[in-house]
Amino acid sequence: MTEGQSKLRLASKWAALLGVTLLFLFPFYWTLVTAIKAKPELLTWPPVWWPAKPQWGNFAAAWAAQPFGTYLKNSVLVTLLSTIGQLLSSSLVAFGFARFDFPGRNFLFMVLLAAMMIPWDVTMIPLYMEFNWLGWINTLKPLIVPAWFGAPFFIFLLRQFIMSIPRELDEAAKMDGANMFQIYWKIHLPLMLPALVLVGTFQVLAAWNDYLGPLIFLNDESLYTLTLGLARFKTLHDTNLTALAAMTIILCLPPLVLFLTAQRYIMDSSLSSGIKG
Amino acid sequence: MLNKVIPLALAAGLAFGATGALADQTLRFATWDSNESLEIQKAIAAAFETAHPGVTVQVEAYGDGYDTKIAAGFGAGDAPDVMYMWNFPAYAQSLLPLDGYLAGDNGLDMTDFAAGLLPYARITNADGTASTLGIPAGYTTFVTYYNKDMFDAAGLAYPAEGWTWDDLRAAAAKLAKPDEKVYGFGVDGNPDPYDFETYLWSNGSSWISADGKTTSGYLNAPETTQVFQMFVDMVKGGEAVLFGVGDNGSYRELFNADKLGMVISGTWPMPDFEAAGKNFGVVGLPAFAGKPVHSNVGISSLSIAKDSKEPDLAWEFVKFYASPEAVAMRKNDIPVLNSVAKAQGMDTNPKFAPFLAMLPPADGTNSPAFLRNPNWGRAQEVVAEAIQQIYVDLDGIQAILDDAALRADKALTK
Amino acid sequence: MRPVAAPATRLSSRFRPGAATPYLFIAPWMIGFLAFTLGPLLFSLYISFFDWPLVGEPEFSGLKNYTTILTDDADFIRSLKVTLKFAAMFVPANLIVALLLAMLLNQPMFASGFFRAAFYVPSIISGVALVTIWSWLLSHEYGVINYMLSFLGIAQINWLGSPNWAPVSIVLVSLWSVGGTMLIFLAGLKGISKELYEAASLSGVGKIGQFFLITLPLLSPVLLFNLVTTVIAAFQQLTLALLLTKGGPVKSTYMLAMYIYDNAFKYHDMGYAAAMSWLMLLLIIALTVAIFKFSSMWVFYETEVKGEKP
Repeated sequence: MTEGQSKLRLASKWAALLGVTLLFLFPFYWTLVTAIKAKPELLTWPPVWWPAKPQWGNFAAAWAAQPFGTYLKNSVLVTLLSTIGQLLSSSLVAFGFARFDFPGRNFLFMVLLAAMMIPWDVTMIPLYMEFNWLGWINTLKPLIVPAWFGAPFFIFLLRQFIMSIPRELDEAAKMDGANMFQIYWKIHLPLMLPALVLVGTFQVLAAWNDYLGPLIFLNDESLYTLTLGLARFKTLHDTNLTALAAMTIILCLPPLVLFLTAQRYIMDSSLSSGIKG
Repeated sequence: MLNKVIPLALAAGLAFGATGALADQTLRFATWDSNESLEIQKAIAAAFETAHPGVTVQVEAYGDGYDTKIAAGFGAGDAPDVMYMWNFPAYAQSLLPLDGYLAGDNGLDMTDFAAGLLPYARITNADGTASTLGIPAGYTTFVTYYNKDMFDAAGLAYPAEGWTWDDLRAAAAKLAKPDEKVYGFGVDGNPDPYDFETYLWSNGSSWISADGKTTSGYLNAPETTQVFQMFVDMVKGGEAVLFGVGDNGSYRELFNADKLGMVISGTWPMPDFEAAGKNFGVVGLPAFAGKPVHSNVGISSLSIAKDSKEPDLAWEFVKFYASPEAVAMRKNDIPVLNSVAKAQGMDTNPKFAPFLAMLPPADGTNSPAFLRNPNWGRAQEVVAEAIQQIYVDLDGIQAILDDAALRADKALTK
Repeated sequence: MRPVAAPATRLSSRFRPGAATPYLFIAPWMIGFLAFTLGPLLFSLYISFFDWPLVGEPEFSGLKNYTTILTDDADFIRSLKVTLKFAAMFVPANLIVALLLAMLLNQPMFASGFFRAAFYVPSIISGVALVTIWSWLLSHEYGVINYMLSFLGIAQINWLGSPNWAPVSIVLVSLWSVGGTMLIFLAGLKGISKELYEAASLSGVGKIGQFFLITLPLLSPVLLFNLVTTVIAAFQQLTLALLLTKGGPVKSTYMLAMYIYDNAFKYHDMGYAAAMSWLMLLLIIALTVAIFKFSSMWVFYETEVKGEKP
């Protein structure tokens, strides 16, 4: 390969990177611009790329339009508690499926996968009845408790990770007298850290962005989550575009910060080298 | 890190388990309103609480998710006590008939209600008797909004009551400047068939026969085809813009930006137009030459769940909602009580009088399709699809409607 | 993931744990499954044999719901076709784009953290907001995308309003949230040893050869995971169709999940909706079983190399 070719290759790689980045970030830019536009600027042709007088007050106005402080508290509570539960339970179950050979394992694993395929609509009404019977409707429990029993998607994901950890590690620990729970807790959990951070990130996003769950299971406004508030800016006859855009930006910030912090753990090669054994 | 979080989790778990200290009585009230209209609902609920010490009204607002939420609630036997309602046939079996409460001296002056609204909440039962399942709380008819500045600039006279679609089209053609994306009229390309039936009635047609048995000969009647042909011609001729098909930008922004001369709607966009400082006028719907004009009505009624544990209290609440005091608080639609409309000068206010003039007759002659057949829901889906097809193709209207009538009739029998 | 076959010396014989131990590990899921999934699932199977209105009295109807769906419901057939067409575009597009992006990010480069975040960030947006953003970006008359395309001399495309474009638009919008799949690929790629590529390079294997000889086989467990979950996601796709196009125009994006949703929440026909979702469940299971059967031909678990086939 000549030097010219390699430069060309490098340049095209960068062009691809920048192009894709632009594609991925442009909608954000447009949301931000929409959030700070004055109403008459929303629908001009050609479009306004940057408002003549940015209305930064739109953020405060959107936040004040509904009790978002209360919604935030509920969203944080649901997200935090469901994520802790999800990490503990899913890793434990994944370890069970990856490291034991027991009668019915393959069957149970197929059942687990099948559970992932169940359309939401099928179980919604019976689940509602069950939660109602338990007295959980109009509490945050339906949004938190099930996460403490693991989710097929995460169990499947963690199982795939565990299966690539050499069994020699387990054997060595076994020789040192460790039982299986200790092997899980002391050896696999630390090794799984990148995968756990990944699962944690996914679960945080799922809980933070969940709309149908809170809609169906919550009644009282004091228990609402942020997404319910966001959806209220849009009704059949009216969409408050500015407020919707402003709240969208605000809603993105916590997961964004979380991801920027977490990605180091997921991707840092020194950590994932743990997987390599 | 996990070690630090778990005690916190347990503490928080205890906290959320212990919520929900109850007042003496709590009434759940669900609404589809949001934004400013929701604030009005909350104010009315608060006024009711003041008048009834010890009662807490829990206002539940679900916006776009209203139907899903109410359906789930009924399905699981956990519906709100009082709720907004329009689709009475679909929920008839779960709603409390109010006839018992309405009999005798109930403190409600039923003669004060705008008469045309009441048939919308009356259901004919299987045994032939009729039940009233809701009390109207607010409504809107359909009117024409026009942009006065655009009319002035084009040197056109404002539309006047008694005008026709020919008048509208002539004005639209003069207002339109398609090169600049300026249009005389806006055609909703994805209308709710319920709203659209307004035009059919005004041209002497309807979606379905009066006995609710068939759509053939109605949905595909020549009068129905004529209505669609007119709108399609307007779009093709550049007089009108088609909105609602693949466009998030609604007619409101177009109107506010002086890009739309006339549009037909209910009260919904008026606060927006006022806030934007638009110089607009309101006039009744145009007539098809020589035929009487009819408008459908969008009504927010209040119903009580059959399973409500507090039906009497719920009825008190519904009554309060229909009282002159509460009706006067609803600024975002038209008062259901004639006395309130008069007291607010709506019958003489040029921006509101057209809404009152468009009220349907009290005998329920033009009852909407969903009241004529309990299976209308599936048929309406067929109709909605046919309308989209017409506006996508802008051609072949009769064939599309003939096919739709066949399929809608099949859906009615399911 | 250690790709190099380590000396397969067995330190001890296979574990012989107490018979109950494995079940203790998977107990949380089994309890949760019984309580929150199997119970409701069986109940839905039960009501699928009834004419079960959301409100009012249920009436036993045997297999009628199933026979009606399969023999006399044109909307079911149509929505199934729409779903299959969507899956045929959605699954390959998502997997290929996610893998390409992950491979792009896996190369040593300046500001890799920035690009990684940029590609993933769209996935953190909630469904309601995502749909709103895109519906005004893709707007026919006033959308900024059509505005930009006009500079390239491309006439306005009615992205969401044309029955031909709407299904494509939904796939394009879904690609914007490809970040999750991409991250899973990336985590897998990070686990492949660099020495392997260097060794291949020294033996004169080109980039393309390396992809097929090293990357693809070693990534296959991850690929299997992403394939299965993406297929499932395609069949369950509801948010985009429901909020972005409402199934239209002219039912061009009216997918199976949405038809089920409408039967339950619009027509209040719970029995019919339950029967239809059971048919959908069986279809997804059949597809997944087929993928797994087929996967033994191309999925490569490292532990298997060491003679430890589970």
